[in-house]
Amino acid sequence: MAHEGMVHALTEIHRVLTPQGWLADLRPDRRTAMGKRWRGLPRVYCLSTPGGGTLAGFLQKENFADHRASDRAAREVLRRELFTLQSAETFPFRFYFHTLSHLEDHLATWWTNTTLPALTRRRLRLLMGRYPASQIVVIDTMRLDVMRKR
Amino acid sequence: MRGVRKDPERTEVRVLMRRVPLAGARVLEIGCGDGRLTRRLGGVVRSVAAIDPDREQIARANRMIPARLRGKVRFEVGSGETLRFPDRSFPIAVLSWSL
Repeated sequence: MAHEGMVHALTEIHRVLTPQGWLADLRPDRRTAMGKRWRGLPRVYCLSTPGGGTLAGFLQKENFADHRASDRAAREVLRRELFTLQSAETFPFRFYFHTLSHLEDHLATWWTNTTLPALTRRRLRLLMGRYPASQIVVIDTMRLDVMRKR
Repeated sequence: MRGVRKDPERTEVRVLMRRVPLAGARVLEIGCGDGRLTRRLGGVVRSVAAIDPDREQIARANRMIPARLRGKVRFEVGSGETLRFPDRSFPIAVLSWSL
């Protein structure tokens, strides 16, 4: 969705909300990843025992244009005083994949803006060969911004 | 999708519940996808109207509604840019990975 479309969608939400209504904006947090090579990117672990994971690497995002546009749209409706920001926080969101093929299928179908770097793939293969009952965990950082209609 | 589990710890809905008064509320969810978060919200709120522009995802979401949530959760094809709801009709809206 382009920036104008996002602002329009937020304006529509403002219209259908009751006075003092709540808007919860849930999305991946890429603020620390922009301009920095690894920080803020989804982390990939090989989980060999419950609670016992080994970091294999990171997923690489191709670009952050959509994230920047979302941030700009949210800032714009706050500036226009349609909403007030009540709280902002981040939290970990975990995806569990049974096998490397499941992760690769998911990347091809849903995370088309994301790649699995060759080094991370190699480490995953090595770790999963060492621990055949293991699974893959991708930990992404999500953000929740809560706003209220003015 | 087979072979994938998303947020089995339910961190997302727990964080939401801590920050937004969901209990007993009528909720509009925008960008519901296959209804993963909708089904979790359905156990807490009074009702959820959930929309997504992807017709296949909405069909999948409808197939996966558990019997206990039928009548409480409604899925529709729709976009956040043109909401087909009257003014002032929801106390809570959730943008589900969709802004």
